[in-house]
Amino acid sequence: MESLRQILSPNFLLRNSVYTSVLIGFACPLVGVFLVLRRLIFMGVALPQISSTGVAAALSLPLWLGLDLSGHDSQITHVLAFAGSIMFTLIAILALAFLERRGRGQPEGRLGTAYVVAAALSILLLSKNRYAELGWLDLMKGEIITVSNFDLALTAIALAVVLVVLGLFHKELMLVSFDRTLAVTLRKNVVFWDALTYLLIGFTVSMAVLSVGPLISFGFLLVPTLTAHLFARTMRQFTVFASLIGGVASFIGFWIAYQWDLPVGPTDAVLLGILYGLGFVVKTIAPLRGSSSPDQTTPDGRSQTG
Amino acid sequence: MKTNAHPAFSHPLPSDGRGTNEPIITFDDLAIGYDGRAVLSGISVAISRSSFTAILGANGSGKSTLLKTLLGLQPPVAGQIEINVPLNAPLIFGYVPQTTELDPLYPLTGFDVALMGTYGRVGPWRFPPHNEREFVHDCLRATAADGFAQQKFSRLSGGQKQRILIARALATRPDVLVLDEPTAGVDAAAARALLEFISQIHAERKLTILLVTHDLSLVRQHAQQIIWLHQGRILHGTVAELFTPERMAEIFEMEVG
Amino acid sequence: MTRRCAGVLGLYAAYRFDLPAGAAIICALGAALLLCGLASVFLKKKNIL
Repeated sequence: MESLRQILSPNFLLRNSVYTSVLIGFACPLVGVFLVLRRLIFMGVALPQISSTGVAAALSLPLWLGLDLSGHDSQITHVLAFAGSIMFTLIAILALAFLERRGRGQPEGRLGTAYVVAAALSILLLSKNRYAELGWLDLMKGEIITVSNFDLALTAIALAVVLVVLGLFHKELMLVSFDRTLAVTLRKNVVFWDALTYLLIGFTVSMAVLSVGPLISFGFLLVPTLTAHLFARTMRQFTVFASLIGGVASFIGFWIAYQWDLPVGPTDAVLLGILYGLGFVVKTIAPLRGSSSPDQTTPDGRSQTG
Repeated sequence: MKTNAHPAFSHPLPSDGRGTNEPIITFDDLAIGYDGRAVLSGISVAISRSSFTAILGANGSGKSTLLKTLLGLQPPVAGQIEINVPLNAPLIFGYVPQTTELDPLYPLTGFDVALMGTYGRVGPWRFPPHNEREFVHDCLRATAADGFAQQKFSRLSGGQKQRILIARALATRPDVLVLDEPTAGVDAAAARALLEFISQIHAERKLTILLVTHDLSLVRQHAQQIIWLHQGRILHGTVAELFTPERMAEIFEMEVG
Repeated sequence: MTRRCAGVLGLYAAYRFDLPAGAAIICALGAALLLCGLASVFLKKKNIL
């Protein structure tokens, strides 16, 4: 309990890391909802990796241009990383979405290829980049150690924008996802709303990767969402549960990691996995015990007598 | 986005007093297909206002392609579709898809699905206001779907889902109700009840109805006009004109030949 | 053939520029895939494929 008191103390040395981790935990599932419902789970694997390649490429740019940023404010480095992450992610997600709509090739093949090539490219770029010594390799592994006030503010503002946009346009985004044909007949600009959905996903992934790395980003995008889906009966419940599970798990994961001196990111990921496993077991056992169970949403649906 | 007044579905005729024989949709030498290649061409058919028209055809005959072209999901390969509505207002389609097209993964209630019909009138960054939500309840009552509207849409039976989707289509305040194989995945008794219900809506509200199906026996009792897509040709007429022994022999001889 | 060429090119690049071999081969294969994809689109437009 002493460690929990320390974490909750306003003078806690790593308080920015806690805040960032919790923000990411709350925000990622909100866009993860669309990845799961649109059956784009593999995109949640590929995008964070592509985003981290963008970070690596952006940090390699000064090296290629012969610039030495080591004596400069780290904020420049972080802005550079942010720009690289955003650019790579948005280009990738729009390209993948375009190819998906055109129906060319296999989606899983494209995403798998994008993931593995992005991972390989990250390794190549970082192997030649002395800036990797500044902790970016640890970031890729999900070590959230030092987060400056600037990074925290940037992350909070960016995620607040995502939250506001999701809240304001939720019904359009849901309509285009659920029934594209109806959206066309209602004269909605489906290309615009589709693009906005993908941009929100890409933007959130970029912010998450900068803070917690690709592995944890993927974990927060999908696992809380899948856990919430086991129990939610309405879209509102689904969204709120997913976000709450992500936020609470990120805090508890940080506490466990701090308590036992473990890397934060992998601890969060394992905790999320345990929560999902527990949820699955509860969902499976509950009907067997004859108690009223939550609605079961299976991919093929269930029919009742009309 | 429709904000100005237009005939709600309970007001059958436009105020300029046009009759029900006035065409509301005219296919003018229309060719439909994909990637610039026509699968059907020379479609010249007029659909009368307030009529009940069935589009018949076997699987692969081009029914869905015709529907998608009409709804604007894909452009025609050639020709055009003329729309005739008063005051040059855009034609509103109340579209009822096949239930299998909707992903059961979404945790939406029947009411949530029906409410989507109002999104054409409710702009971005607005939540559907109280009067629209009440209107959706009215539509659900009209389709006898209000009893199960709070249940998860994916858990409903095929017939229940169709009623929710028809309520959604009515919630759009449509000029034309378009139903894509509404009896698919529904047992025979429910299919008959559904067609009876659609006929009832047509009779009460004088809605123009376009129903796509491959089930000949169901629609001949209800449809006024038939558009029959058969082996690359388009047959058009009333039930009485098409379903004579001579005409049927001619059609099926073409099939055997 | 494409796979072999890309693999050899990747190995050569790893040797020449002192890069991790596995990552270099993967990137070479990815580049080959991209080139083949673009060529396929170009050839289809020219009605060659």
